Amino acid sequence: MADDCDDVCHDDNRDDCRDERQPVLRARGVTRTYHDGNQDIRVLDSVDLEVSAGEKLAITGESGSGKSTFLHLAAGMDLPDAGTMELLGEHVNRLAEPERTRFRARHIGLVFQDYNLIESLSAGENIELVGWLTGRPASVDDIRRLAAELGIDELLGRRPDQLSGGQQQRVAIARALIHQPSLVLADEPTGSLDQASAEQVMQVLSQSVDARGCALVLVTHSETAAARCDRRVRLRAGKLEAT
Amino acid sequence: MLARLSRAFFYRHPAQVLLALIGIAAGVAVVTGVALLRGALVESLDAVSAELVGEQALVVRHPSGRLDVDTYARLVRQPGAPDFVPVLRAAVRSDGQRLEVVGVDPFSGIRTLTGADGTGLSTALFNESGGIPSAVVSASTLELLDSGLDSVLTLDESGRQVRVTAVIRGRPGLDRRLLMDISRAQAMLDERGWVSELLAPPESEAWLRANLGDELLLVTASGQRASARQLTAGMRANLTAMSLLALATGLFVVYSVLSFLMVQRRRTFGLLRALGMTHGRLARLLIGEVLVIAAFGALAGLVASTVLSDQLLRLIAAPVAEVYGQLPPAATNPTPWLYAGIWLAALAAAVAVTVPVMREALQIPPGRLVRSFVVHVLPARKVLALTVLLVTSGAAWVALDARLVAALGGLFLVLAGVIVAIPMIGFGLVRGLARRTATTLPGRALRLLETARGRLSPALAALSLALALAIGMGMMILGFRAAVGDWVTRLLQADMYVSLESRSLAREQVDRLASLEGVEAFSSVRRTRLADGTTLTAYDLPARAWSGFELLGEAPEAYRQFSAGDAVLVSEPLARRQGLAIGDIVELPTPEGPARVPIAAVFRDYSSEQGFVAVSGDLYRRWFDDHAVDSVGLYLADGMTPAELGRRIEGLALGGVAQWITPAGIRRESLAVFDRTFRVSWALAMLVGLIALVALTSALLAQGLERSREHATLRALGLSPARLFGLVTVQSAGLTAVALATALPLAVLIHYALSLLIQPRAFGWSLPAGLPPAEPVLWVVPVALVLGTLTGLYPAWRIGRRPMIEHLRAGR
Ligand SMILES: Nc1ncnc2c1ncn2[C@@H]1O[C@H](COP(=O)(O)OP(=O)(O)OP(=O)(O)O)[C@@H](O)[C@H]1O
Ligand SMILES: [Mg+2]
Repeated sequence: MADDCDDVCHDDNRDDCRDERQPVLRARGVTRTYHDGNQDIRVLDSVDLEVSAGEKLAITGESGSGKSTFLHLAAGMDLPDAGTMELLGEHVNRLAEPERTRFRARHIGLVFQDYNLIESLSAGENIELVGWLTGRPASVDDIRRLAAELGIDELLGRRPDQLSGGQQQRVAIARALIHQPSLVLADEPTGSLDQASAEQVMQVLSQSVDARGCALVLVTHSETAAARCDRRVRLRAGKLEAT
Repeated sequence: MLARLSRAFFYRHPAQVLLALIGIAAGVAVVTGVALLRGALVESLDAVSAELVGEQALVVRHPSGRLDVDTYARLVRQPGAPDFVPVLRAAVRSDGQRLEVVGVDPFSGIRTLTGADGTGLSTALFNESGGIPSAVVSASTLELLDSGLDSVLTLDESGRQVRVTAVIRGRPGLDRRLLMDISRAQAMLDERGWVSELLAPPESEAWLRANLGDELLLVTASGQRASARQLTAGMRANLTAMSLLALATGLFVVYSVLSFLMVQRRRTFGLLRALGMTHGRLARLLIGEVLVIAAFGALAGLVASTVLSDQLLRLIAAPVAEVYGQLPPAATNPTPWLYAGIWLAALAAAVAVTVPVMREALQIPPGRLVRSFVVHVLPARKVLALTVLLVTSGAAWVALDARLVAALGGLFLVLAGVIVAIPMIGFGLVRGLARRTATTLPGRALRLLETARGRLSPALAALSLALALAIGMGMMILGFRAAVGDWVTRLLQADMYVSLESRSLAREQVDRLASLEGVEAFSSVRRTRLADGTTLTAYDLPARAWSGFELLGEAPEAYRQFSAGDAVLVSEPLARRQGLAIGDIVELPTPEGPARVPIAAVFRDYSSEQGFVAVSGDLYRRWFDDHAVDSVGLYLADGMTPAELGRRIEGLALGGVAQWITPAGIRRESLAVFDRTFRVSWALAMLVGLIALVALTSALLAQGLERSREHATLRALGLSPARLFGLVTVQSAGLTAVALATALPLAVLIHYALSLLIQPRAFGWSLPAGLPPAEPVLWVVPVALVLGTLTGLYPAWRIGRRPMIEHLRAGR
């Protein structure tokens, strides 16, 4: 276990010394341009945004407006062409790739639009995976408790292909929450679910986030999902506008 | 529209398509190459006559092997006589190398020989300076002797010399031959008035048939080909066996690559079927794809084999000319029919190997295909049942049918059975390893590897088989080489062997050798070909030389019966060919009519594929009244050395040129011949190694590239690039290690199958059972591990290079 730990653990105590009132996420002038042949598509054009601890923010916008792009930038999975992305006071785009990855593993929980569960691992193993990556394996009890909270404690032994879409998404949410992140980034977590499942998933997501006091950035098309959030912004023509 | 679907997929996975192409091309190349080579071997002709007079040359010989000039003159004087080319041939030795003097009349109708510089060679044969006769040799012979133009070669211990006055290039049939003017050769060899054979142009066949009389033998080109066919039968069978093994491996690699192409797209297939594409259309689409890949791959293989086979032919021309005295044609003779046949067969084979994969894509309900990335594997019980069925039926076939075909077919069945079980065993190993290291990065990496079992199974099996074949073939060749070395060492009990070049030793000469001071005992050998084609070898052996025969099976009475002349021995190849065993009666044509004698024992022998009958010297002389011998083995008293005795033998003036050699020299020469003969086998083993490489690359690319989305997810969840690199490295090294671990026992199995089944049925000789040589393992294991790890790094590098977002998006 020791060898898993050492490259992850040295930023362990940062959380404690952070200023509580400091925003969890602060985007300043974030710009992202894709090059398509000789044509430049400016998907994000100098976007500013702040999300504070415990806050739940919904981002809406038309398909192709750049919501996922913004989320990827926020997670440090992609880098802006201009502007800064601050997470917990850390300029993620100034970190070197390994540090950025460690930072993400430690502080961010990701829920993908299409679950992205590792197909060959069981549901339980998918949840365990993050603990292994961060070098802080979650205890069996923690996993069981979280799974029970999400209503999937009976399904931990199953492979993703043996689960329904809603069940898979709940496994993905468990995976995003198990390591107690400060910020959960969820990209249309209910996008591929029916009304009832979507409702259920949103409920457990917002409850879990509330219970842990972490911030949530939720990309969604759904009115009901957005309604569960404290604040809503809309992406249009590369700019964020409050609604 | 559908074609676009295929095309788009292929464009996105060029590496996999390339591997499939290479797999097919390699398989086709090996089979075509060997088919061409076999054809060439069948067309082999007596090396010297083919080079001197042409492929259709007729050869006139006397049964005794020598023809006196009077007989020749009588023939030439008859009306209508053709242009004969009298040739004198004699075995000599220079610088430890076995050579043949070929004396010809440069003005009789021989093919124009041109030197390396393009000038004619006739004059070079005549220019004699300082009393040293001149000789013309091929460039490779000169290289062999490590000398140059104008150098003087010393022949045997007699001190006779020839000067190299010109060099011929190419002409493998003239390798190891010293081409001389016939009259100078006769003078030098003390053979005045004798020639070995007469060559004649093909047009003269009718005349020769009418005028040769009973005394002389006429050998036609087709007769020569028939004997070449017989001589090279073992070699051809062996080539075929090896090439089929290589082909099977190639096909299996193709299977694993194509099945991977299918598995990767299960989801797409599920979608297409869900969208309403019928089985038939999907099957047509897939078959169309496979056909396109196979068509191009096979074409590349045909082109490669055309180049390859001429290279291989050059490789075997020298040993074939040397071992069998036969010369394969200079180039292979590909026909459009052969090419078209192999091309079509390759297409059919490619479609056949994809059928099982396709069936899966077609039979599983589309809903499950769309949802599931997990390929289901056969349950262990079924795997075991299949393995047991295949292995027992293969073993039964081998046991019940004594033909080579059965050995090959049985081996294929057994291999198939083992291959079916390999993924189960291999991934069992992975699971065990992963358990032991569960909480470490390697442990996790292996656990992830194990979960991809369904998709990696064919690749692992292909890799394991290819590695096993490369190692097993290497083991067999080295094991065989060691066996030949041991056999020669055991056989040669005397301290030195003496013979007269190009003629036999008369009894009186043997007595003089035996009575030399320092000679304690002697043995002698006489070899004859009987009227029915059997080779008979007569031995006079002192009691202690008897251990030179390695008897197969129990025969305690053999020595007594043999030396008393009550029974004969037969060599293993003859026993196998004719189904002879101890106690059977052989019938031998002798001047006194057919003699019927029992077989006292069967002995190991690697000197002749046809095999021979061994009789005691006394019995032989009683039958044939021939008191000459071909060579004498001398057992020296303490303190006497072969070199010292060699000098005394030279002083004996035996009336011919005596040559002597020590057992160590013979052993060295035999192994050199072995190495040259087995060059082709090595080449094939290398090819299988190459196929193993393709299998390795495909397996690792399969496991690495295909999981890029999974790896990107891990990265997104917080696995650093360095640790992802570590993870992928552990996975590729782990997969390679597991393939090696399963390949090693399989390699040993292949080694024993080739040594104890295929060799005996192809050549007639068996190899003593013993531990397989370790060298191939020492070579292959590190190379595979290093290459495997390196190949595995490519996908990791690719993931690192491309933004992970793209990988995540790409998976959808
Ligand atoms: N690698 C790329 N190259 C070029 N254009 C890209 C690339 N990735 C995304 N885009 C474009 O950027 C725009 C924003 O994409 P993004 O995925 O962020 O949209 P989105 O708002 O998440 O849409 P949706 O609601 O459909 O998920 C789209 O127009 C898309 O075509
Ligand atoms: Mg999106």
